[in-house]
Amino acid sequence: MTRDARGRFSRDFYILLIPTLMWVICFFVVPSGLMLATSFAQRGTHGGIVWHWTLGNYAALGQPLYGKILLNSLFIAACTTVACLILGYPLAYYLARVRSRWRNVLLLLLVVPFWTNFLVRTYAWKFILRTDGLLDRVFTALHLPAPDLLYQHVQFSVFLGLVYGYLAFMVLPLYASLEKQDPALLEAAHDLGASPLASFRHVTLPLSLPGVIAGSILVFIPSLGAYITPDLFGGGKYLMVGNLIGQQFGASLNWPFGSALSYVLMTLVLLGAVGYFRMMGTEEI
Amino acid sequence: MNRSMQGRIELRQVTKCFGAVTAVDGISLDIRGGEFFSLLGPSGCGKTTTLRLIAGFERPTTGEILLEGVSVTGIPPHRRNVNTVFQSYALFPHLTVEENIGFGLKMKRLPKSEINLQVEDVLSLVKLTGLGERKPSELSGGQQQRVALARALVNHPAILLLDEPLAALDLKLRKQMQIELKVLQRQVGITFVYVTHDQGEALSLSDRIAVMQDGRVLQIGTPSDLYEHPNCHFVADFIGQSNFFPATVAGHREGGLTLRLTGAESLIEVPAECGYHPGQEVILAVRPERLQISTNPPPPPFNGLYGMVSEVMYLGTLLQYTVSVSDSLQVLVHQPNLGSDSTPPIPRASKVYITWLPEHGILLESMTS
Repeated sequence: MTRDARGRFSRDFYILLIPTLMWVICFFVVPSGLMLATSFAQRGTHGGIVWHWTLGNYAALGQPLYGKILLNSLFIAACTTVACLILGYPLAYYLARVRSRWRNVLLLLLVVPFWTNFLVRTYAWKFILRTDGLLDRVFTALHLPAPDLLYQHVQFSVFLGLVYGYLAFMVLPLYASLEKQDPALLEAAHDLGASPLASFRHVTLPLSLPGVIAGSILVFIPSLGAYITPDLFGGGKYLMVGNLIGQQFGASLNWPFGSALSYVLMTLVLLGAVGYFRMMGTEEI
Repeated sequence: MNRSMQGRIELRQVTKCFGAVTAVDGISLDIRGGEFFSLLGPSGCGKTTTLRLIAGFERPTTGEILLEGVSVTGIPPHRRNVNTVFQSYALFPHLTVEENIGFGLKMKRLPKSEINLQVEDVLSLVKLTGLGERKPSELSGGQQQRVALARALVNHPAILLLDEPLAALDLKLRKQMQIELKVLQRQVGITFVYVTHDQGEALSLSDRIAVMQDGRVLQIGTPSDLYEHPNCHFVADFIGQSNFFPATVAGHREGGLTLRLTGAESLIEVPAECGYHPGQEVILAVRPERLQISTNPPPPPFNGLYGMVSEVMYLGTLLQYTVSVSDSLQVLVHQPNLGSDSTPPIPRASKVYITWLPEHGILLESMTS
């Protein structure tokens, strides 16, 4: 019993919370506070932080260059999420319906790529997409013009890389929500005159919405903050907001601006998530 | 449509195999329109598969199914004029009661106002008026059951299929719902095909019953047919209680046979068709409530057994005696409980005579033959 007669938690219960609480305070609350403070400070002439309060770091976001990078990042993250949803839903549906003996093997196959470092997998994609890479050679062999995706269409390449990288994050929650659906519900829909398509639209899809939401959030947030994929594919010349932030803390030595960017990104993600929950009309995940 | 075809279901030599397992093995049924027809049997006997074949969730491996005179092979469930009440109810958890019930009508693209009207009607038919806004999870088991029923009935199907619809309810509610189902079936007048493993339920509800075992139909008949004239050991055992006496044919007499029961001295008479020969091994079944039990010897020659009461059980509406005739022969006797003044229970260890009328004996083929 962790609650007493009046519904209050016991003292022992709070004692058990202390380690977690300490962790969160030391490694989340304090750093976040420091970063928030930094975002209102100024950059020193040779880097470093000068504690003169200013809103200038946030105002700088109004510059067309930075605004464009931010909007572009949002666009790519949204495209990645939609693509993962379109590709991942049929896969998750199949996994949820396949005979149980094969299901675990297939789920394992879905996760196996994660045993390889993300950096290595991204490099592998670079070898596929680059000039005279695997993709170009396949096209040439088929007597088609080589697409040279990595250099001619770096944004599309980044999008491909992100979809590849985060597809499993979409599939797993979708699978979880589809797998627990009672197959009798689908039979009931058929029985009541719903065609397979109508059954999907009126029964399967609405019941899988929690999975859709969870999957979308799990894909959208890391896509928006993507760093490795645009960095490797763009050779440092293609910037998503994650790279911009990385630059501020690295080469540009502008920690205050980097902090401000991070906070804007966090706020956007938070607002986006809340809006998405509202739109889907689901509180429970 | 021809009136005699309305609501009629015909199964012709239908077989359904799942891999190496034959779930339904060459079943033929002719279910009349407006009939309350039950498929009765233990779990795994193929009754639910038969229902799913009629609904269209499964395709027969061989054989043919006709609904209202038309072969439905290859017609998917959503194009059959048949609705199902599922054992788990299968109510849509994300829809309200009204939306659940209106689902079928919405699929038929009826106007919203028409749907509302019909949903209201059927809600009052199943006595759920005022609960339309609730979600299924906010209803009791009995209420969910009624929603499942309403959701099927609102479509005015020619045939309603019910898969153990009352199995999840407690005894008292089940009894009440049985009566309501029967009344409802008369009211709407459509064919009910009812799957159950509960023989009491099947007996009390059905016009006719098909008793199934191992994918086959053993006997089809009215409840009293099956109870009074079971055609095999399984049916006699599954429907009601029976005493089974292994016996040997001793001789013929007018309109029947005399039998010698294994483990007993006396000769027993039983009416029988011809086709039995002396020395043949048979089984005699007698219902426990058809037996008379008495400490006084009946006038000879009597049709019965002599033994000792080894157990007396008080079961409320009746007294159950277990009488030991010999080491290998135990007999169950039911005596109606008419009040302790008129019939004081016979105490344990009393010597008793058990008698029955020859026509209450049921002659069955020996299981070994």
